[in-house]
Amino acid sequence: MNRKRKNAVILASLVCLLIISILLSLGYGKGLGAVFCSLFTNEGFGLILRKIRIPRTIIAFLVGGSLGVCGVTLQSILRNPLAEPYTLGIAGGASFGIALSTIMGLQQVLGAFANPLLGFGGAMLSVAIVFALSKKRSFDPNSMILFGIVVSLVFSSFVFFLFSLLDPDKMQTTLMWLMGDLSNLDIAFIPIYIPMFLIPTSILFFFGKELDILSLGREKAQYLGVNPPRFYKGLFLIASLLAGLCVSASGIIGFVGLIVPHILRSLLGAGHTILLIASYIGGAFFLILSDVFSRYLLYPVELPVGVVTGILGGFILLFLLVRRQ
Amino acid sequence: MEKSLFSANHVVFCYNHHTAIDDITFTVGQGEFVGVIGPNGAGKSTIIRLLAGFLRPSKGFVAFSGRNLDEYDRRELAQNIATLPQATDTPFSFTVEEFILMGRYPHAQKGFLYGKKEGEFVVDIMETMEISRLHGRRIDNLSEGERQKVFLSQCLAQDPKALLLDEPVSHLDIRHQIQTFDVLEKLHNEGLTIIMVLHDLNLASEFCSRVILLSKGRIHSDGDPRSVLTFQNIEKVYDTVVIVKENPLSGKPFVVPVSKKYLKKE
Repeated sequence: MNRKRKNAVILASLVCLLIISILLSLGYGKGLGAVFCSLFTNEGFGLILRKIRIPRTIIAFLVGGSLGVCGVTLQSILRNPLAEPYTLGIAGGASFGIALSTIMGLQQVLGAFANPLLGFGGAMLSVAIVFALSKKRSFDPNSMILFGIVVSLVFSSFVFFLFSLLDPDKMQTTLMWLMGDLSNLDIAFIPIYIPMFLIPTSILFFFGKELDILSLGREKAQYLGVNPPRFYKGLFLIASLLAGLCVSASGIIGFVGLIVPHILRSLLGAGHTILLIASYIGGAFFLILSDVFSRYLLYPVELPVGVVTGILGGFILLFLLVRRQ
Repeated sequence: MEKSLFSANHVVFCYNHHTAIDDITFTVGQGEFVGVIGPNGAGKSTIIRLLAGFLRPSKGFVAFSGRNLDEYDRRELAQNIATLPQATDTPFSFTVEEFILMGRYPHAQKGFLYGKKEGEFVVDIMETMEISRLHGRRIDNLSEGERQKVFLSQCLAQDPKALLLDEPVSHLDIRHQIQTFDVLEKLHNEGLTIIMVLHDLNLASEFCSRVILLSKGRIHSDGDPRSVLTFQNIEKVYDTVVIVKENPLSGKPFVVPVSKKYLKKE
């Protein structure tokens, strides 16, 4: 079949792009030879590799891929191609958690754990609120999106309220985090994060068929043998958990979950099974590449990666939208 | 009489304190082709949703093959009943094959992808529905008539015993209306039980073996088209003056509504 072959080629090219971006992220400015030579040495570049570049690439991979998969999942169940991982208010909640941890000085108490923990907590709090509100509306997609927007806005206002109380020095780190930043995460988190990210993602991979059907709306989905309320709840929870983890690892990184599924859908078609896998690879590629840009574009100044994805992603999306008309 | 497939027993359905269905009892036998007609708000769509198991009766119960619908799980129900609601829509541009393949979901094995067998099933259905030429097209690029055939094909991919349709042709031109009905009649002749909501009284008269006329959530009359589609019944339920004549080809009644301007004032 022609289309199958085309899709296989696209997937293979994505994997190639991903590998290139990983090598770039590891070996930028040093060359691949240096990466392989110093991988097992314990000094100089070897140390940089193992303490900084490898962990950072792993986190960019996990977060980017998860954001892509989350985007696909939420776009299907909310039946809205503009939905993204933060649609359900996660960004606002997480920012609130971080701002709170800063103002209460929790960084001094909890150390490196403060921001990831409170970011995740805040994200889950906002999801819980949206969830509780949506339950009464039996998880109607439009109400959920509306609740998500409102909850996120309310939390953001609280963040600005807290900011107005903070002294400007403290704001700097919090702001960096809010803009999406891969540089702050402690290496100690990596071994914990890998399974925490991979388990929910691999669960989502198995629901491609159901996501196809859920995008037809609740009534039709039920007639095709899917039990919508059960899947809505389950898939929302897994996707929100993943998005919360992303926020806790790297702050708020916009556009990945929106633009990656958007582009891949136009290349591969709407079928969700292949789209989920492709969006994982594509999201990981996009974020690793953006991270390379964020590190070296204005070297030695490092940009928050969320700024890069926002600008890069925004322009790509605008270009695609204009070209389509 | 044939084996009863659907039976509704004293079904009442209320929402927001409004009684949409008010104590309805009827059975539909295997192989029947039933048209449900009635004015707007008479409860036609609600009946379809109750029979399909999307809504649960407030009182009474609906049974399929002698078992209460509550006893079925969604998957089992979808293996037996295919339903086409009034509005089916998706924001994504699936290909025709992908879309019809979703109909295999209740039969397919759980897991990552649909098997080869399911793909072949879809090819067969596209041939039956005479839409093989739509191969590879995206559903958002189809005409209204083509899309309706694809939607119907998805229902048929469920390999159902019964097909429930909610106004399947009201937005199609007459050519596509007749084409759709010809296909449905063929399926009916092969043994499929069909229950559909219709606005067009003449299509109901022409194709349905039995017509149920609803009025305000109750069954006003129920029987073959000739006995139900009388001007007395229609004028009473629709509150509109009509002329009922006989179709010279089929001998079935056909209904022409009469405008106010032709009515003499008394």
